[in-house]
Amino acid sequence: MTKTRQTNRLLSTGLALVIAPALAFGGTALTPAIADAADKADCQVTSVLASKEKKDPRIPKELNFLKEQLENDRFAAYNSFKLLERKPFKLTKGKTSKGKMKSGHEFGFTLLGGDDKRVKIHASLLSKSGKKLLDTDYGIENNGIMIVGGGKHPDGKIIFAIQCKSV
Amino acid sequence: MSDTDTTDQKYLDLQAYFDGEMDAAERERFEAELERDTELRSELDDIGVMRELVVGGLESEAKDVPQARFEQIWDEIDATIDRDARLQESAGTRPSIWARIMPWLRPAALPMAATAAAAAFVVVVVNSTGDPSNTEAPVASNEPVQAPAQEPAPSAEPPSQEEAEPAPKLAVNNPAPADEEPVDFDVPDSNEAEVERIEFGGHSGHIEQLEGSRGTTTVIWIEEDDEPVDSERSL
Repeated sequence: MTKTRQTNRLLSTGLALVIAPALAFGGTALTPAIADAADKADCQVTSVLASKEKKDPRIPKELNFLKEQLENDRFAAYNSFKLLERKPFKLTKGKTSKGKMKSGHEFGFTLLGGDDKRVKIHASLLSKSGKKLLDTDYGIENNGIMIVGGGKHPDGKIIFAIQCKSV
Repeated sequence: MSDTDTTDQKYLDLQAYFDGEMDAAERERFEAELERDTELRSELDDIGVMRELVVGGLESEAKDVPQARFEQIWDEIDATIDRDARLQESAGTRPSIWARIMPWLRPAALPMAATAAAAAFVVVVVNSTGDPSNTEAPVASNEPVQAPAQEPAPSAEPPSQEEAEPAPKLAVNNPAPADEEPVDFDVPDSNEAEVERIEFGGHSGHIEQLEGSRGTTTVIWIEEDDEPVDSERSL
């Protein structure tokens, strides 16, 4: 029994010696870095009109950053694409940033977190009449493109390309 | 004795001989008949073959079944023993996990608590003094100061970029949208998004992954209900 007590005391002392400094230094070292990387982000929504009207070029040069995606078979039904708008959003963690596109659709973004490599975003999309179309939480690599397609437009469909990066 | 009776008797004799149920005299008589009757010998051989097939298969199954059954029973016994042992252990005076950890921690509780408190204090101080902008986080959302002149619902036709439209009036955190410059983004290594939660309004929606030379791009497809094209509605 005596040996057990001694062992317990040695283990507890060792535990204190290891954990306490780690708490002291780890908290100060890590916390500021994570906070700085995940507090702000820049997002941008590019709205693209996908039309069945034939135009040349099918993908204009201002949409070259989406060329690989627009050339996918999934978009083969559309004969031309046109840049409608680019709208930036500045995000601060925990705060929702909203903006209405020229098409009438309204986006809302909230920075949920992230680091210097990835961002975690809450995104919502409302129709022109204010009806909810989409509400999602997702994580993506900085500068990564996520596409929301199928927005209504009299001349075709709207494709929204969403890019975000932590700043 | 009719032919049928003779045939039946022959068959019975065959069975009895094959099964070893004849006495010495009958066996001797039958063996003499076997030597004379080739057809009878052939039938005896057939019976032998059939018996081997049937009995062999059954014996093979019989070999397995008891073994499998034996293993199954043994597994059940093992499981029962283990369960009983666990019940006895838990029913005994076994201390909870906290009761077992506390003797280790008790001597060091005070210094650890003091150190943890000091570390927390340092973290709070660093956070509060490290980034001045954090201390002045606006309470409201990032809306422009100017009062928005609420515009009616925009026309359905999207104007081209050259049209200078008035600033969108809904809680936009971007001042002077007409002068906003697009943000430059680097080419990402991957476009694949991890969708943690999603709700579709409207009819439905779905998620697709487009494969490309630079990886996967996540596409969320939405479906809008039909709405009037001419947005002549006013608020």
